[in-house]
Amino acid sequence: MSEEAPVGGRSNRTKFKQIAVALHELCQPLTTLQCSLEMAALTDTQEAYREAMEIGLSECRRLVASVESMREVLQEARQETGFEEMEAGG
Amino acid sequence: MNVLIVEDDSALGHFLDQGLKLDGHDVSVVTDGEAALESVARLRPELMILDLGLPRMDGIEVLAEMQRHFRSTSVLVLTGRAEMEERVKCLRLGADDVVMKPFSFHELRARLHALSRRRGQFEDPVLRFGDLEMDRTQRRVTQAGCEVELTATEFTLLESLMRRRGERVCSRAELLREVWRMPLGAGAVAARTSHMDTNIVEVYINYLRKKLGRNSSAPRDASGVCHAVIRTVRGEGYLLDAPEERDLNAGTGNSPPDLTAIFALGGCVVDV
Repeated sequence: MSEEAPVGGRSNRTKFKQIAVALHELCQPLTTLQCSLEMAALTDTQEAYREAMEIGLSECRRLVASVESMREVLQEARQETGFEEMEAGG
Repeated sequence: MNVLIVEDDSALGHFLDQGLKLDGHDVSVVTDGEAALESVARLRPELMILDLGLPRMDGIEVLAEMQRHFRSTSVLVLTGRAEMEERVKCLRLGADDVVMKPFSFHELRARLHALSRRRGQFEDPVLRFGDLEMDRTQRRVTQAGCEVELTATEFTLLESLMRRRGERVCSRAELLREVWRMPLGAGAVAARTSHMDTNIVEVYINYLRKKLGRNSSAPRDASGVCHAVIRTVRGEGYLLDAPEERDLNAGTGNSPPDLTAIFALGGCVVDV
């Protein structure tokens, strides 16, 4: 037990880091998406709405990619903790 | 305000640029840390909006350099890093404010206005440039020691020019916002669509030139102080300048090519 604890600690630290990175990657496209929509509403021109839509779609792709990477981290964490097996068994 | 945006995400940089220009700010955008410091040295912005995760030089390093060399520029940090320690570190390194991503553009605007207000409170109430001196507390302007009577609008217009200390051009959009309190986007729209709306700036610049021109008769006074001039910079706006001899000889063809006119405020009026 005493030998396993530090390994688990390291693993948790790695997971925390991965989540922090994933959160950071979510923030960037979310900010751009929000600002682009707010700008379109402020400017209130058809050109601005079209631009916001184009940028919005592109930022959504970035968001989806971030969500995918967070799912992978979650999946790894589940496998390491055996949580998945517990869920399946339950 | 003259604002420098340092953001490596091109889409976000683009929208911040657009939004702040609509608000009447004079905006430049760079995408890495080294370019940021180069631009600060060249443009001397009043405010820098600084993203932390930057290529070539990290935002934290940029912040440290700003604190060392460019303390007169306020810095607002944008960060997607969630750690409280990171935000504290930024503030300790000299950042004036820290905004966490994701943020609303409306919140950013409000924070910029707050920073602008605070800058105004700590500024020296007396502005000096060339032979001009403006005491903003007593609402008094002197040129070469002689008092100049200005209307409230003329005073605010001259203040806008003097605050930039001849270091950068003051655009019509900025003047419309700062002097005439034009609402959001009015400066940019007026500049594009309506000559009538922008003409007011030129009219008042000419009033100012005439009033200030009465108080001096030579390019330099006895102590060697240059008389200030308002330069019209084609397509950009106005620049307060204390000209060197070469500018005063502009009529001989030595003037800089981008100037449409040089109007000396003293007796040395030179039309180009």
